[in-house]
Parts: sequence; C-alpha cells; structure tokens
Amino acid sequence: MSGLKTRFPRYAKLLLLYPTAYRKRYENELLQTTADMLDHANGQLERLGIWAQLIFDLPVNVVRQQLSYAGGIMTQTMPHYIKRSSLVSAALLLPFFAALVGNALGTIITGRNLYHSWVWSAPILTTWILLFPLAALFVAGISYAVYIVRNAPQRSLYKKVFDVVNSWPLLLSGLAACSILLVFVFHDSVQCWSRGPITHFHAAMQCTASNSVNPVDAVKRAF
Amino acid sequence: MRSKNLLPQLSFSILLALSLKPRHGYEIMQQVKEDSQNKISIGPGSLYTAIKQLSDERLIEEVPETHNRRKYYQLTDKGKKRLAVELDYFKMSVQLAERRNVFESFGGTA
Repeated sequence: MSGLKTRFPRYAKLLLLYPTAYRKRYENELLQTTADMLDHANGQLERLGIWAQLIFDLPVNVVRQQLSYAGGIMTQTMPHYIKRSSLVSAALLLPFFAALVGNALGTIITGRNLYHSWVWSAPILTTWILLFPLAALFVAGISYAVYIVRNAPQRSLYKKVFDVVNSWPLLLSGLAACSILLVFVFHDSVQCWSRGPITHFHAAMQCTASNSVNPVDAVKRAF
Repeated sequence: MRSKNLLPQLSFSILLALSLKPRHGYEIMQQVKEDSQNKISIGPGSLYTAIKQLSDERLIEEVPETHNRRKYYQLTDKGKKRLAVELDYFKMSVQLAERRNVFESFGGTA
C-alpha cells in the first residue's frame, strides 16, 4: 500500500485531514479506489475531471467525518450526570431567551414591546432574568466540580479543568448563564443596583423593570 | 409499514449495488453510476463516508478472506431486510403515482 502513497503523495497528505481512526480504516481503500478511477480513465481530460472531483469531494467529507467523530466521542463517552445537568441548566435559561424572543416578536408584529407587561413585572422579571440564570450557573458549576473531582486522579488539575470533550454542554450552559448575568448587571439595572442590591433587592428589581436607561449610559455610570 | 426514515439516496444506491454480489469500492462506484444512468457520480470521499455509515449501522460488512488487496463489501441480513423495506416503499410510491396519473400529469415516465 505504500506504493499507492508514493503514487499519489500529495493526495495521501491531504488524507491526513481525516480523523485518525477513519484514516486508519479507509486510507488504503481511498487511495486504491482513486488509483482504480485513474487507471480506468480514458485520456488526460477524464483524468483531470477525476482529480477535480477528488479535490471537491475531499473537504466536504473531511468536515463531515471530523464532526461525526467529534460528536461520536462527545455523546458516547459523556457521563449521564453531565447530560442531565446540562439539560436542566439549559431549561433554566430558556425563559430568558423566550422573553427576549417574545419581546422582539412583539416589537416587530405589534410595534409594542413587553416592557410594561407581566413578563417585565418585578417578581417574574426577577425569576427569568436573575434567579433562573443563577440556578443554571449553580447546576452547571456543581456538576462541573463533580466532573473535575471524578476525572482521572492521575491527571493534573489543569488537564482536568480543560478536558472539555465530555463537559462542553456544561461549559456552554454555564457561560450562557454568566453572560446573561453580566448583561443584567451592566444593563439598565446597574444604577438601581448600585444603590444597594442586597438590602433593597425588591426595590432594585422594580427600579430595573420601570427603567429605560441607555445601556451606554449605564456602563458609563458603572465605571 | 416503516419504522425508520428513508435512507439517503447514496446509501440506498450502494445497498442496491451490493444486492447482486459483493463488490469493492471502485466496482460500487461504477455500479451506482450505471444503475442511476450516470445521474449519480460519486468521489471516493463520499463513497467511503457512506460505506462507513452503512457499516456502522451493520447494513453492510467487509467480506473476510478475499485474497485481494481490495476490500470487498457485502450486504448483511439486516442490510437485505432494510433494502427490501426501502424497495417496498418505492414500489408503493410508484404504484400510488400511477393510480393518480402523476406520471402523465407531470411528464414523467412510468
């Protein structure tokens, strides 16, 4: 089979783009089939057409195989508690995105936003903009901590923390929750919260709900 | 009648190409091309992507001991059953189209 690699050295190098497991299984056959195609071609023009087909065929299938292998590894070896926690965490973030989408649709369809509706009223607003994202962050954080503790003990902490192959859904939902909370802090509410977020929580939420401060001004005030 | 989705066109064509006898990669490509009257022309990348998928689903398997540097593939029992189900579906669809005169109405050929 090394003869085929010698015959098509550049094509053989391009095959290195495939996932290793796939390449080990199919590299020889890919080269053999390529050789068969070229051997049966009638004339230079047909051979040129075959090379064009090979070049266009390669990137699409490299991407498909890379995604397939990555997806396979992630779903097959991912512990169940990570899948469950990720789902719970994502579900807790859904109301936030649903509220934003609902607000955008309301603005587009009726020309009115939901700022004065029950969705933006204090107790509900507190729930979807703060409590649920906090809960999502908590669930993702606890599960990630469990993942790090349960990870192979002989590995370094650095490797455990950044072993994202099996933990990416948790990281994703955790980062989404963090982003929501950061947006919340730096949004209209910042001026309300700067008055005392702990002692005047309800008042701060009411203030946030009735507030319509320009986000740029809010950031300026924050700093 | 069907418990699964239809196979992709290429996967179906490969199963059909292997229905007569075991074949190696290039033979499969040629048979698919011939069966489709030159409408389906695939490259090796697409071929082995489909072959891998069919092998993973245990619809085809490598023929052991071929005394040939090429690997031959054949249908498994599961693959034969799946092909029969696919063909039944297409047969039923054609019969339905004929009953509704779809071929005449849209200029196709029965």
